[in-house]
Amino acid sequence: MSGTALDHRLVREYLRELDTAMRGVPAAQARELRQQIIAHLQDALGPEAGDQEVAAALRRLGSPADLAAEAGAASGPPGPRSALGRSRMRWRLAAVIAVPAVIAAVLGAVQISSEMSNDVASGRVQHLAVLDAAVPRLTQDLEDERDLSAGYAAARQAGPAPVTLANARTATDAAASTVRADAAGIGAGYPPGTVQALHSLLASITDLRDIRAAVSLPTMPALRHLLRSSIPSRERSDESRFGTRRP
Amino acid sequence: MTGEGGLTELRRGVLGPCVLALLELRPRFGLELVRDLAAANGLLTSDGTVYPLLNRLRDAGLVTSQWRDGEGERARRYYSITEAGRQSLTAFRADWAWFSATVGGVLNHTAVRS
Repeated sequence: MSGTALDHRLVREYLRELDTAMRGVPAAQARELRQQIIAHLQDALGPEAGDQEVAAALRRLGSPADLAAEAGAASGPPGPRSALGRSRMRWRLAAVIAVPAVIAAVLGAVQISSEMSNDVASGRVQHLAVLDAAVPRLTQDLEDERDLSAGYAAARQAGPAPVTLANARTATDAAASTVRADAAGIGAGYPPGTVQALHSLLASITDLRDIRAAVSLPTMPALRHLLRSSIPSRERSDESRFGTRRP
Repeated sequence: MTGEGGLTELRRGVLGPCVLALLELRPRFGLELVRDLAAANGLLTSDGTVYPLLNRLRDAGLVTSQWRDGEGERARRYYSITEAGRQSLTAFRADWAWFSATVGGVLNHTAVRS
């Protein structure tokens, strides 16, 4: 396209900065926003627009860093500007997102054990009912911990977790050990679906240790594999929204 | 709470419903929407933020977009409100009426015992 506002030196510079700033944004989102900004400038500026007019239009658009933060932050808070800060933020967000995945595993177990309550094998049903009572408690504690973790990660603090978060973790641990104790003995003779759901639930509780470490630490590359394997596909869309797929 | 910081957060929160309210009247293209929002004095901190917002509203199913050819001009992308968007806007209007009355009552000391 020739003789348009896009050929203006300042516009080209702005778009270059935007591309750089959007490196942490998923490719499809970055492409779409770039097209929208280009269309905006084509509509706002005639081909003969002078330096001052162009500069004013770009100033009104906002800085490329702010735009990229808006695009990458989705509904969350805008991320920090530096590349280091951004990657730190990504890891923490990824860790916080992983907690709902653990909750999903818990709820899966609840659903399956509810189906079982029609089962005539009353001993097993009773056992599952005990577990069923313990799981919502764990769910609640996990949600509380997730919310506090999200606040902690969003505040971009370094160092030890605040007392409220530590307390939430203690509560989660207590609920988790209740579930673990109630789960003992559920295996052969129980519906395979329930056993499998329980298995993944217990594994997720174990993963929680690593998730917590990532919430506190600036980076944890080893977590990448863990997150990929433990986040259900429903959660992955969130993952890519925060740009965690790229290092 | 700093004055400007608090205002920025408030703006962020209400911009989505304001976009929906404009699209409720008729579909608009990007710059048109930006100008109409900017005309509501002080609502927009920067023009660019409208686009990530539109994309979020689209992802949430509240807004859709379609390309339209202008007469002799290049095609433009028009954004319009969906049925879910209308419902969301109706719900927000009710929430907002309650919210502004409640906050107003507390701020002006008419709703609290001294």
